[in-house]
Amino acid sequence: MSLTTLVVAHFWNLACFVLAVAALHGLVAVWVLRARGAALPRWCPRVATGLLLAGASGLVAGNLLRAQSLSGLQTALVDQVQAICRAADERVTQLGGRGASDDAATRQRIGAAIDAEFRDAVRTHFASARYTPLSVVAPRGADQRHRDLVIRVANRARSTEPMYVGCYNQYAHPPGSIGFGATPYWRIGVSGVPSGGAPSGAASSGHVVFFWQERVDGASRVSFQPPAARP
Amino acid sequence: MRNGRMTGFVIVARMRRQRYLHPLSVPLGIVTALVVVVAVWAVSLPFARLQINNGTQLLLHWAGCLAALAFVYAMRFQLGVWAHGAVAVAMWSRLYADLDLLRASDLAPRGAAVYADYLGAWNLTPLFLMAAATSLTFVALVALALSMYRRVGQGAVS
Repeated sequence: MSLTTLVVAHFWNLACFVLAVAALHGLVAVWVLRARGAALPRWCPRVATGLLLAGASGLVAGNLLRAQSLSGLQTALVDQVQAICRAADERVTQLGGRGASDDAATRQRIGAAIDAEFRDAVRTHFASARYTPLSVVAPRGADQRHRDLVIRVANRARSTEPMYVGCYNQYAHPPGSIGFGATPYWRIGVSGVPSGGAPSGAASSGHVVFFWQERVDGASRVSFQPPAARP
Repeated sequence: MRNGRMTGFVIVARMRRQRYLHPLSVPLGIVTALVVVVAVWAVSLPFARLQINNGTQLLLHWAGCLAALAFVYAMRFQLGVWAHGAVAVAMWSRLYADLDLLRASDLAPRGAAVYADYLGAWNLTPLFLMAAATSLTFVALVALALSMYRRVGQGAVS
């Protein structure tokens, strides 16, 4: 996943735009001066036209670069987040977590380990999410209240509402443990999360669950699998 | 007759005249333009973000640019022309930067078509008018600079 390319594309586009607009102003100035009979050196309009063309082609190149970088972003993001969830889940199993039957000390120790895992993942992969379609919703800074990993993805071609990708931390939030007031908005109306402590397959024991959330016709639709048709 | 005898009044008249028109080297003009672009960008960085939906703030920004420009024009007319072009470029690029930032923060592979949505959603008309007015006055003042230069009788602008 190459977020750096997107950041570079933004600043590259901006620089090319500045170049093109400056060259355009120079060209117009040269044209006005010539129209009013000023004797200008011959290189003036040539240099201005050259810079204008350079800026314009740079803009085209920057947009191509961005389009290319964006086309693989969603797939890469899903793979990335799935890997994070799997790693956190394996960490729970590794530390001997079994779910609701664990005592308070174990729960706290393993919960802290998952939190650290999420924080590290955000720092490693999503630190430079500015100027990209992604933004980290949780954990955000020192705020670890919700204990999930949530990344918001803006995709206006599909919906004006953002999509959310992330990991539900079912170890810290066993089913039914979140009260009405404390429910973060990405968990409102979500049911059927695979519950912790019940090994449902080799890939995941259900402590940390990957999710993919979209709003369709005003209703939130959550899936615990990566999207089948990847746009 | 530069080296002829000049009374005090003639000296003052010449100084006043030359104050408004000074043959300016292209490198100095380019440096001025760069400084102006950097300055306009500096006042719109995150610590002093220019909110393009805030009409009052836009007008204040615009008035500040005009005041600074008038000052530069009073000092050296041709330096003012360079600075004027730089202000125009900075305004257009500031506008583009916000649009491109919105474009960058969206996964939709819709290319430049997405700009139309944002232009409809945000009221960018004042900013557009400001930038367009700056560019047009720049062109007018380039022509004015040429005629002033000729009136002084120093030949064509180079």
